[in-house]
Parts: sequence; C-alpha cells; structure tokens
Amino acid sequence: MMPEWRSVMKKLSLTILAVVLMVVVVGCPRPPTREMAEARSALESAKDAGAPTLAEEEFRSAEQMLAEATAYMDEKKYDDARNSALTSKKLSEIARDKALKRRAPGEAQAGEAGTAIGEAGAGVIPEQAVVTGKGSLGEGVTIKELEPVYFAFDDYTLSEEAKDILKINAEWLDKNKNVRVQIEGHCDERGSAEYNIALGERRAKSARNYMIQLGIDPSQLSTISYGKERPKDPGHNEEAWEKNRRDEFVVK
Amino acid sequence: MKYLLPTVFILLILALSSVLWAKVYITIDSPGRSRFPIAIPDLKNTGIIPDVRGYSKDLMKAVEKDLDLCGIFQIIDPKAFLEKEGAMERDKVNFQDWSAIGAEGLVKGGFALKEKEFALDLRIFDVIQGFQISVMSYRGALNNLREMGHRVANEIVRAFTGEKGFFGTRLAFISSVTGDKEIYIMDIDGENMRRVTFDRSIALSPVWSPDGTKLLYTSYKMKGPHLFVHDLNTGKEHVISQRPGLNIGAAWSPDGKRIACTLSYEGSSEIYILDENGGNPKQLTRTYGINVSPSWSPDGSRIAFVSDRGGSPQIYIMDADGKGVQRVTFSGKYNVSPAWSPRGDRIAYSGMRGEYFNIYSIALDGSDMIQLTEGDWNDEYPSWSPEGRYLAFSSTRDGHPELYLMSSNGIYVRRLTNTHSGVLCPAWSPK
Repeated sequence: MMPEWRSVMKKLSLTILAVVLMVVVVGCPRPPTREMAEARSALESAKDAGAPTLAEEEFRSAEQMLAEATAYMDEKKYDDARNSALTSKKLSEIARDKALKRRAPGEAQAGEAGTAIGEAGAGVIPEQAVVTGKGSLGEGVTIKELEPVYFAFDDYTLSEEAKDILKINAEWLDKNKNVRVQIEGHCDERGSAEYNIALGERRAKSARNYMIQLGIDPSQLSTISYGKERPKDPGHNEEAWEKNRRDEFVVK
Repeated sequence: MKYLLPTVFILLILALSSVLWAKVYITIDSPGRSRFPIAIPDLKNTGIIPDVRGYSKDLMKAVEKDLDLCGIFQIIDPKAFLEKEGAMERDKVNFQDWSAIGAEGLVKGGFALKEKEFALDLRIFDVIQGFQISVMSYRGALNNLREMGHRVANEIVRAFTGEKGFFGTRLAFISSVTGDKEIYIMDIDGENMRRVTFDRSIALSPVWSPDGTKLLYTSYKMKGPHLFVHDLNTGKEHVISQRPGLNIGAAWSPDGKRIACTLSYEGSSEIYILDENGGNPKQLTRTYGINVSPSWSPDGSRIAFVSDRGGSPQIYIMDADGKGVQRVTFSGKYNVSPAWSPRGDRIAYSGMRGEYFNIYSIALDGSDMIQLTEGDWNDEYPSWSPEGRYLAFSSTRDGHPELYLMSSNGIYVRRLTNTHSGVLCPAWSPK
C-alpha cells in the first residue's frame, strides 16, 4: 500500500510541476531584447545618416520613444517596451530616409516631395469618402473608411480586434497619403476628468504608434484627447461605457 | 526642597487652568456630536434712529442662515425665550432664563443706524458658566449687511469652536447649464452665482490663486487642452501653457509663485512645475505613464498626485522637487482627485469601490483611511474649506451631479446647488 501511495504522490507532484512550468513559460512575457537591440541599431543608423540635424524632429521622436522603451524595460513592463521599441525603430528608419534624401543631389526635389504630405494635405477629404459624423469639437469629419477602435476599462493597449481595424485604416491612409487625420482618444464617464484626459491621450498614442509601426508617415497622424468629455453614448451603463472607450479618426 | 512638590503641584494647576480657560465648546471633527443649542434674541436699538425698515432683523436672519449652513448649531425658537428685558451687559443677563430653555450659547447685541451705516455691538456668552466669551464691534454699509452677517457668523463660530467659520468664502465650479462646460462662481451659501467663462468649449478643473483674485483652469477653446488664468477683477484672461499634448490639472503653490500641472509635450503625461507665467518648466515625475492631479501641501514643500505607475490610478506624495515619492493609497483599484487638507495632516480623495466613487480621507503615511461618504452613487472632486474642517464635493446622490458640503468627518452633509444641469469640480476659495 505504501509504495503505491508514494508513486501516486510522485506522479502528482511532477504533473503539478509541469503545469506550473507551462504557466510560467506561457504567462510570463518574454523581454523584448531583440526588439530593443534592433531599435538601438536603427537609431544609430539614423544618427550616421545625419538625422539629428537633417531630420531633427523625426530623430528626436525616435530617441524619445527609445528612452520610453528603456524605461519600460527597467520596470519589466515588457509589452509596453516591445511596442515602444518597434515604434522607435520605425521612426528611426523614417528619420534616416529623410536625412538621406536631404543629403542626396537633387535635394530641391526631395524637399518638395517631402512636403507633399506637409501643408498641402491639410483639409483634404477625398471625394469618395463617406462622412459618418463630426469631430468632437464640431470640426472635421469622421468617415466610414476609418473606423474607431475600442478599449477595455482603464486600459490603452490594443486588442487583436483593434489591431485588425487599425491595419485596415492604415491601408486606406496609405492609399490617401495627402489626407491628415487626427486620432481622438476618449474614455467612459467613470473617474476624474483629468485622469481620463491623460488616459485618452495614451489611447490615441497607442493607435498612432501602431500605425507608424505599420509604415504610416507620422506626419499624417496627430493626436488629441477629450477624456470623458465627448461620449458617443450618454448612457450610464456598461453598454454605453463600452461605446465611449474609443479612438475616433477625424479628417480635418 | 520640601516646598518643591507643592510648588510643582500649584504650577501644574495654574498651567491646566490656563488651558481650560481657552475652552473649545464644540469640536466639529468629533463624530456623533449633537448640535450646540444657541439663542439669538433680537438686537437692541441703542441709537436714535428707529429701525423702520427692519435692517437689524435682516442682519440676524442672515447670521442665522449662515449658522444653520455650517451644521454646528441648533438655533432655539424665539417663542421659547423667557428673558424679557434685553440687557446686554454680562452682569445684567439672567443666565438662568436661558439655561432653563436649554441654551448653551447666547448671542446678544445692540445696534445703531447712521445715515448709510449700521453699527453693531456684539456680545457672545457661555450660558452654563455665565461667561462673556466675546465682545466685538462692527461697522458696515446698510446696503451690504450680508457681508456683516458673514463676519458676525464667523465670529460666533470662532467663539465656540476656536476657529472662525467659512462664511463669505466662495466656490468656483463647472456647470453645463448652457450646454457647454463653463466656469461659474458662487458664495458658499449658494447666493450670487455668476458665470465666469464664455468660451463655448470645454472648461475644466478651476483652481484659485492663493490671494483669491484669479482662477487657473483647463480649456479646449484653442483646440487642445491648454491652461489659462482668468483675473476675476479685470475679467481678462491669458494662456499659461499651450504646449503640444496635454496642459491640464494645474494647482497654484501656496506662495503663488509656482504652478504644478500635467504636461505631455515631452512624450508622456508627467507632473511639471511652471513659474507663475507658465515658463521654466521643471519635470518632477518620469514614469512614461499617467501622472496627474497635483495638490500642494499647505507649506508648499510637497505635492500629492495620481499615478498609474503601480498598475492602477493611486495617490502618491513627493517632495516639491520630485524626490521622495511615496505611495499613500493601497486599498481600492482606482483612487483619484487628491486634495491636501489645509491642516496638512490628511488627504481627501475620491475612490472607486465596486461600481461607484465615494470620498475618503487618509493620513499621509497611508494609515487611518476613513470613508466619508457611502452610497450607490458617485461622490467626486473633494475640495477643502480654507480652515480645513469642511469639504465641498460633487455628488450624484439625487440623480445628477450637484455640489454638497460636509464636515471633515463626513457626518454633516448639506446640499449647496440645485441647478439640474450637472455641476462639478468645486474649488473652495482660499478666503
């Protein structure tokens, strides 16, 4: 009787150990060391290309984003770190490309091409776009082609569903490079006005960073937060709150 | 040597009696205190001009209205009064007539009308001991008796509690009555409500300058959350910070020279200190997360704020240079809107438990957390009275957000507004 009991115990403990190991392996996020390394080297490449002077704004964004990623690494916030590292790498590549264009002969043409998205794009709504509403301060419009994405309570991370929508939005923006879009971050009504303005900004930046990672020119995307001030649904229940935790894409 | 012990004993008695002499009759903070019964007979006309218009009655009505608002006193119905002769001098007052009807405090006074002036000679008595505890003289314009009423009520509160009342102070707040969020101010008793901003945009989070002449607030009127200062005397406004990203949640330092706020122009929402013109930004927090709602300690050496660095919005405090960050709240998953008490020892805040927000108060080291309001509704945006014994806040307990005041122990609650439009973000003036 005794040896049988012992072997059952042994099997049980091994099973428990295996389960625990699986949970640890699956549950614990992998530190994004590769993404960090790639971001760092992308920043170096941009620096080598002269980006700090030739593409100052883009370079500074890339640098800032890398600093953010490093801070997240220190705090073991690995998902946030990975995200920021990916965005930083993209921004570095953009900065490097811009710097190289400016150095190359025929700089005048390069300069003009570079401003195509700049001033000319303001206020252009493509004819075929279907307008679905207005921006939160009454200006600009939301269009059918750019759908909102939604968030969980007190959260700014993108769900897989949100990422799918952003990919579609990014495709449209890629086809309409002269359209500038403002990403509005919104929250449900719970919590202080101030905390929600900050959360709304994180939601808007989440979407913007992801779309930059997908290759959208950062100058096509601006962000603003309205916190809980402009709900889509004025209700005071979970149904309404779900609809209000969103990013809206407004074409100005 | 043999006289040492008796000498010490006598000195001790003397010391004790001097402490007893400065008697505090009512401690507002003590829980379960029943109201202090006070009698306020009509003022005696000691002048030549008869008070045909009834100014003295108007004045005392205003005083009684104030005393009723602060929740400390129970004003005895004049029909119960026994004393017939309206003597004012302490040796002529028949205290038995007053203690017989249950009064513990007595307010008497004599007045005289001049051409445009009202002169008042006020006496406040401790009925039980038969002491006169205050003698004050007032002179004021006949067309501004309300202001004198506040001063009298403040003195009555001071006489019985050791600290003067909050009458005459004001609240700045946000109201959506026009459809847009604008800033309004009103006297603490609800009178003299007037609109301050006409921006037709979104205005939020007004705060007072330490001298009570300006309001600092957040507005979207220039297409982004930016910080503005509005001068209440001139009606003029200017922008303090319109940096890219967020410019929100500002708080003036107690010396008026610095402004703490949240900016995000360098990437993430962090607490910064600006000078009084909005320049010379000094970054205090560096978490790449959300850091908002700074609130200064009364001595200006520390700042309470909200941060999500621990995974959820919680209250923290730090030195005014950003060092020494300490977490204060550990209970509950969402704690925001910290308000540092003017007494320096506690922080009030709004905490979410389950579905709703209620007001809490906590000691600086995170101990002694007290839930001040309770109920299935939202109580938010606590703001302390200048002497730190009351809190104004916004509550949806009657359906939609209105402003309320309560004693700092949560026991006495009184509704202040009845706008039906949604009133929030009360800020109690410093004076």
